[in-house]
Parts: sequence; structure tokens; C-alpha cells
Amino acid sequence: MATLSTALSLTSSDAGSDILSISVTEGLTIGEPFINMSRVATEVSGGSDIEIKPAGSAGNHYLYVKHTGLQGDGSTPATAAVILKLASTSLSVMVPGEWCFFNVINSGVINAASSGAETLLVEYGYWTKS
Amino acid sequence: MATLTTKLTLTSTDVASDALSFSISDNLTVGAPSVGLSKIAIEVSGGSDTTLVASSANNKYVYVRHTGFQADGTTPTSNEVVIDFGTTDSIRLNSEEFAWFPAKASTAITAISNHTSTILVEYAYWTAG
Repeated sequence: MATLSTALSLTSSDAGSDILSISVTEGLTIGEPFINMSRVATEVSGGSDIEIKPAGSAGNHYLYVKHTGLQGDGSTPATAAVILKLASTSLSVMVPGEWCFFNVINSGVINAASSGAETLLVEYGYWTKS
Repeated sequence: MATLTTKLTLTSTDVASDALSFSISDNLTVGAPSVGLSKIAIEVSGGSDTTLVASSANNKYVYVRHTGFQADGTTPTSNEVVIDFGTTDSIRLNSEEFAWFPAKASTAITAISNHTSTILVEYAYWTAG
């Protein structure tokens, strides 16, 4: 087992009348299987979904995914969005530069796809809750 | 329109032979509708789902956290928060865990406890501008 320390901050001076400043931290106990920071290219819209997290039988999975802002060649800027799916259900739509972090039910397969005619370079990692 | 600055840091000294040290930030343009940092009690398993984010015309940026407490705000609970996208059981949050994600516009996001305790949930969302 190992410890994954996480910290999230959300700040804004103009999203409301009050200044927003949220900061949360959590030490997560994790084990195998895991995949540290990795990259994969999606196919274009209409192609096959790319599996970035398989179903697991152990604990739930802490998942990080980021749209790198680049197409699959790693250098051409992208404008299409990454669609993150649990099996075929769309969970999240990320435009270039956006990211997410959440704890996925262990039985769920997470797939990534492109919203348009571009392949997209996706950065991701996941760790199993222990 | 307003700017929401987000930052995530992930670190570990013992997950693998190499230490993990990772930080990412992003400035998001956000607008209405939004819900500022709020708390709500969700029902026990078998009760009614609580809608945290309704479907709408634009994508939303969503923050959700399991406070670690039942609805009274003082009694600890180890029950999980089950977050559904539509009717799909997707995210599970244990005590004090959080989630951050851009959510698809057309999908309603609801929450319910996985067992016999109510759970106090902290959440907020902003519409992508």
C-alpha cells in the first residue's frame, strides 16, 4: 500500500459577491493496480473508444484525466473536446486544457473519445483504493 | 463572465520507484447559472436521489465532497456517496474524498447514500462560459 496525497483549490475574485477560496486536501491509501501519469491518443469521432481504465475487482479507482490541448501527433493544437464515458454513458466533456479528478466505481470501464474530426492526446492516471 | 482558477496537486513518495509529484492548474471562464459552496443532506439507500446539478444548455464545472458526517453535521459516517450521471452509478466518494469534473450539459447529476446513513455533501458548480 502507498499514500497518494491530493490537494484541490478553487479560487475566484469575480464569480460572485463573495471572494471564492476553496482548498481541500486528502491523503488516499492506494494499491495495485495503478497507472501513473500516461498519455494516449483517442480516435476521431465515430471511431472506437479508447479504454483508459478497465473494470476492477478490488477497490474503487481514483482517476485523473486531462485534455492536453494537442492532437494525437503531440504537436498540433486541438479544438475538439475529449468525451469521457463510463462504458457508453458520457460523464464529462473536456475542452483543451481542462482536467478532472474523481473516484470511479470499480466495476466501471472508463473510455475516451473525440468530439470531432481530430485525434486527441489525453493524459491520465489511475490508482486503486486500498 | 468570471474567472475560476483551479489547481490539483498529486504527490506520493511510495507509490512506485519514482516519486510522484504532479501539479496542474487551469483558468476557466464561468457564468450563470452557478451554485456557490453549499451543503445538502442526501438520503439513505432506497430513498430519493438528490439532484446536485440539473441538466441545462451548457457544460458545468462541478465540485463535490463527502464531509464525513451524517445529515446532523456531527455524527461521523463511513457510508459512500453514490453519484449518478443520469441513472448511471459512476462516482463513489468515501469520507472526506472530493471530485472535480466538467459535466456534460444534458446530464443531470444526483447523489444518494450507498447504505443506511444520510450523508452531508458539500458541493458547488459553475456553468462554462
